[in-house]
Parts: sequence; C-alpha cells; structure tokens
Amino acid sequence: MGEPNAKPADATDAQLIARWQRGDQRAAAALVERHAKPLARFAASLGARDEVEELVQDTFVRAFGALETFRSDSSLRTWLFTICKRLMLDRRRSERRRRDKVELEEEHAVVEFDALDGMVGDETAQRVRDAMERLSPLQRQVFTLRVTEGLPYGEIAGLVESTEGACRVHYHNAIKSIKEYLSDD
Amino acid sequence: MTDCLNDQMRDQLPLLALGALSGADEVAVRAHVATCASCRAELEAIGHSRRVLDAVAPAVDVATIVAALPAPHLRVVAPDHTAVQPKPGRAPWMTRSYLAAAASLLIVASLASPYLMRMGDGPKGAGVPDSSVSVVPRGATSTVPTATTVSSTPAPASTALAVDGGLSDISDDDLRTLLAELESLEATIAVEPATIRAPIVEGSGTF
Ligand SMILES: [Zn+2]
Repeated sequence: MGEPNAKPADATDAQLIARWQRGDQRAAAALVERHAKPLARFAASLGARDEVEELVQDTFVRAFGALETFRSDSSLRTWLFTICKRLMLDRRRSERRRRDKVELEEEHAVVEFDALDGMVGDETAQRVRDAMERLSPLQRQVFTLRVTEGLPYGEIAGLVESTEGACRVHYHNAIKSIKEYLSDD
Repeated sequence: MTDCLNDQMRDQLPLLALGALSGADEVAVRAHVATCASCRAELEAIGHSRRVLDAVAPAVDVATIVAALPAPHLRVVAPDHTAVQPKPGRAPWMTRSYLAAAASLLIVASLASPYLMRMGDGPKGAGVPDSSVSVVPRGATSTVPTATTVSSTPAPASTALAVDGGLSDISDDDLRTLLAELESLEATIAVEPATIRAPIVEGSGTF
C-alpha cells in the first residue's frame, strides 16, 4: 500500500475509505469525484436517461452506508456498478408494477438507449450513435464496460451475469458493428 | 477490410486506448497496430465510441452527492489501514508507542486534576467525542472488573501511579515504576464518539 497520507487524488480507494471512516469528508469527495463519471456512463449504458444523476447519487448513498461490507478483493468501482445496476433494476420493476404491465425478462427491460437522443455531434458521432442504438442491451453494457473502463472480461461477466466467453463475443460483435457503420459510404 | 485474426492483440486495443497498458504489453500491441490496418480501424472506432459514451453520461454534481452521504460510523483505524496483527499474550496495540502515549495521558491527567477540580462540573465542549481510557489490571477476573477510568475528572490508577507534583518532580525511579506498572496492565481504549453531524442536506439540490 502506498503513502497513507497521500493527497486525496493520489490515494488508493482503500486509503480514502479508511480516511472517510475516520471522519475525513475530503476523502468522501475524492471517492465521489473519482467514480461519479464512470458510474454515470454505466448508468447511461443501462438505459437510464433523465435519472442518471439521481441513480448515481443513490448508488453512492447506498455504498457509503454499507462500506463496512465492501471487500477489497473486487474493485470499488465494480462494486459501485453492481449497486447501480441493482438500483436500476429495482426502479424498472417498480415502474412496471406501477404501470401494471406484464412482467418482462429483466434483460429486456432496458432496451431503449434514448440517452443519445439529445446529443448533438458530427457525422462520425452520429454513425457511432446509430450503431450503438442497434446493439442489444447486453452488447451495449459489455462494450461500454470494456471500452470506457477497460474492465477484464471476468469482471464484466460478473456484472452482467453472463460468462467470460459470452462477454468476449458480445464485445467483438459490438465493435464489428460499429466499425461497419463507420466505414459505410 | 478483413477482420484481424489476432484476438490476443484485438482484446488489448481498448486498454491501449485507455492508456492502461505499459511495458512489454504496450510495445507489443503498438507494434502490431502499426502493421495491421484492421486493428488501426478498430482502435479508431474505439476512440469514437468512447467520445460518444462520454458525451452520453451527464455531468454529476459531486458536492450534492457528498452532502447526501451518510455519516461514517467512526472507528479507530490503524493509520495506514493495515491490519495490526495481534501478538500472542499481548493486546495488539500494546506497543511501546501506545504505552508512552498512555503514560503521557496519565501524567497530564494527574497534573490537570487540581485545575479540573476547581473547574467543577462545567459543560462539556460541543461535538467533542466522549473518549475514555479504561485501565484494567492484568489477571483481574471477569466477575470482579477492577477498571479505572481516566477521563476529564481523572483519578490515579493506583497509588503507585499517582504523580502529585509537576513533571520535574518525577524522579527516574518514579518514571520506571510508572512504566513498569503500565506494562503490567491490560487496557482498553474506548472511543465512542457522539453523533457526528455530517453536512447532510436533505431535500436540497435536485431532490
Ligand atoms: Zn490486428
């Protein structure tokens, strides 16, 4: 383990957690600063739209309330993603109950990827966006986790409740599709 | 363009794009990309995808989130968060530095006692954790706990430990006796903080 009194930005997650547990609010701010954006990206890949910010906040509140149970054999970020996904599924379930709709397969509950709707971009970005909208939710999640976080397939498999081999295939299909959209003339 | 058949290299492209490769791995992947048009195109697609995925994720207000966090359950943690391994026959924290700290605490408490007696029962400072040091002689049975608590109204742990004058009055012999007595004691540091108020701002911001 590195320097225990390192600046918040240089400290490891474990060091920051320990500092927060001793009452250091700056450590909490550093942890949130470090993981908020990746969590927002992940929430968006799950199909969250207007609720991304709320979902990210709820994830942190839950996580900090249960940090005692966090085991550092997995990364804090992956643990946060797991909490975020559970919260998202809970939301979708209660929405479904409210709408009194037929129970859907969880995997298909987040089929929309309208998060890109409001995005203004150049033609290349538009093509990538078109390609991503056509990916399955699972492909999109795997692709996002691999491309934006560089997570190993083993950890991705745990998060999306699939196998390492299947995740590898999902990633390769996704990148193939995006490459095709980009090279279309 | 046909897809590259080198899956091992292709798998590493997202990591290369993130700057997460180093050393021989990075050199190998870069060398492959330099000679493989398919991987160059893939690397470019990964870059565009990251840009789009970044833009999709809205900015989140760190301050709002931090304000909403629950207060930590304060606990005594070793400074470097390294678990302190207990040694057989001795409480894990019973090290020289803790003994020295405990000795200092007792001396300061003894010196302060006449002053504190004069102060009477003044109000406790707000927000000050209710900390106390309990000193339990080794060998005391559980049915007869002879714990002595050193707190804001201190009493000497024993007559041998009483120091009635200033620090300059302690002879080397007294100090040795004091440390020897401390060595023979089992002690428990109990830090039970009063509720710590974190700046929780419920119902503010977007909620
Ligand atoms: Zn290649």
